[in-house]
Amino acid sequence: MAVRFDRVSKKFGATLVLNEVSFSFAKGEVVSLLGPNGAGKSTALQILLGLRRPTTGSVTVFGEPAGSLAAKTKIGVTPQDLQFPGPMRVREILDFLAGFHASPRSVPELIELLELGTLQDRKSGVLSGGERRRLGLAAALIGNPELLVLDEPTTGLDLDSKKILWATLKREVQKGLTLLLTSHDLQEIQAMTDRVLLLAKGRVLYEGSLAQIHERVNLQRLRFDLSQTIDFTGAPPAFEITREGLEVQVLTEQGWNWVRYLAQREAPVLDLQVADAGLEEALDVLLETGRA
Amino acid sequence: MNPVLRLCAFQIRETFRQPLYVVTTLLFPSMFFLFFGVPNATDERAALILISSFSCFAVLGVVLFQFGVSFAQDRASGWMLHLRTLPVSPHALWTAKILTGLFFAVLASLGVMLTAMVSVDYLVPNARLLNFFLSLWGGGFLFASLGIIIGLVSNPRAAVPTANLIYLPLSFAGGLWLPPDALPRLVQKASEFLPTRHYGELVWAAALGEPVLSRWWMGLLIYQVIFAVTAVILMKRDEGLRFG
Repeated sequence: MAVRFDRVSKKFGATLVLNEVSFSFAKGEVVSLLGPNGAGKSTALQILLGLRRPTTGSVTVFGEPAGSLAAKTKIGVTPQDLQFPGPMRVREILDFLAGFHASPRSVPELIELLELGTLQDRKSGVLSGGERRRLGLAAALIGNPELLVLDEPTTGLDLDSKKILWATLKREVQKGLTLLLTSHDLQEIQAMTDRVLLLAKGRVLYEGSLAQIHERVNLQRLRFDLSQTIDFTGAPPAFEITREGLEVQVLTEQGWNWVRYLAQREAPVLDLQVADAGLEEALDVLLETGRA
Repeated sequence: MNPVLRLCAFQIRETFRQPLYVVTTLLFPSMFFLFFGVPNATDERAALILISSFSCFAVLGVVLFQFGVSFAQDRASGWMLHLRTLPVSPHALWTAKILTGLFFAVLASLGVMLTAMVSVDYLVPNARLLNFFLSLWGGGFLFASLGIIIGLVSNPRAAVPTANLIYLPLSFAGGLWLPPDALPRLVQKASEFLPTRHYGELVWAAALGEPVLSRWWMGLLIYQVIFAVTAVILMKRDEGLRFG
């Protein structure tokens, strides 16, 4: 197993932030750790990285206790709050970090991989947010890690940097890297994620593949315009109905029943569209209904 | 390369690239000595006391600012957090931080010595140099604990004013700018109880080749035990809060 959380609890004073959290994932998997603010994601990551100790339970990284030097040699990380010493140059920072690892990757190779060539002599203090993120990814990969932990990797990234970042990650994953991601941009991580861990109120609410989420929550979004206002008395159940003037959006698991209902009522509907809802909405429903 | 040395080398290079730090912390004591010390270094005794005083001032400035301000900044910095995820022990990070501070303290005091060499007719005689530097650096390094306390109780914005609020009055009232007998009467009285006065007395005696009264070195020792114990307690509490 790449990572194993075994009944991990964490208390801050009287507040229980993680409550007997257990999960594991294998080498080579891409796992997204998701959940609303305050779910315990950051604390779980901090424990994994050895920045905090669990109150009870244990965490291992490739069989080594989290926080041990042996575990740290196997992990690369880009934290959400990414900072580098402003006066130091990109190349110097990577050379410096490489020195802490037994078999680091070649700095020129990483500079090329993340398209940092023109920036390598630039001081990190003058890098843009996107450039700093790319340097962050290079810094995370420098130790040739087996597990890469990316906390909100695309926050503040421009489009070009996003492309470079995802392309690099895809290549690394193909080579066998295990990846743990947190992100608010679920659209983006869908393309890469094998498995989702949904945390809420300090517990694992859901663990499974994206396909399983959609199986469990078969959610559709209906969009239509009305030529005159009507109420929806007797309509099939919906998680959300929003109206903006005469435009209506319905989030429901009974999309075709809604179509039938509108037809039976001879509702003055114009331009009806039915589409599968996104991952974010499906996760919201899982969270709201506790169906996980 | 040993991780501590690697960290030290990186931090030293980083610090040298901050001109404001280099000017204010490393060059100011030498400049102050040039402006206010040299004109009063009219005889050997006065010159040696002034060289000692401004050297103490230099060491004190570095240890209070290097530890106080940079510790406060590090605690809030994502970079330090990143370093904690590397396969290197937290002790190595602390040790490197302290050694880097001490390196700059040595450098700042050597700056005063070099200034004295080119501007004053009297220097600390070679026979007393070892004792002088041991007193200057040994005594001054002990103030690192006070710097660490400032860094641990201040947020990054408050650290500079807090360090200044401690550094400047302690330097003045401790007799590092003016000889203690030239201080206002009330300050003279208070001076005897200040750690900077104890420190100054230790270094003045070493420069002048005179025996140091036990009350001065014992007082300094007591202060340092208090500072060190407080710093260790605060460090453990901080580690527990942030990484527990």
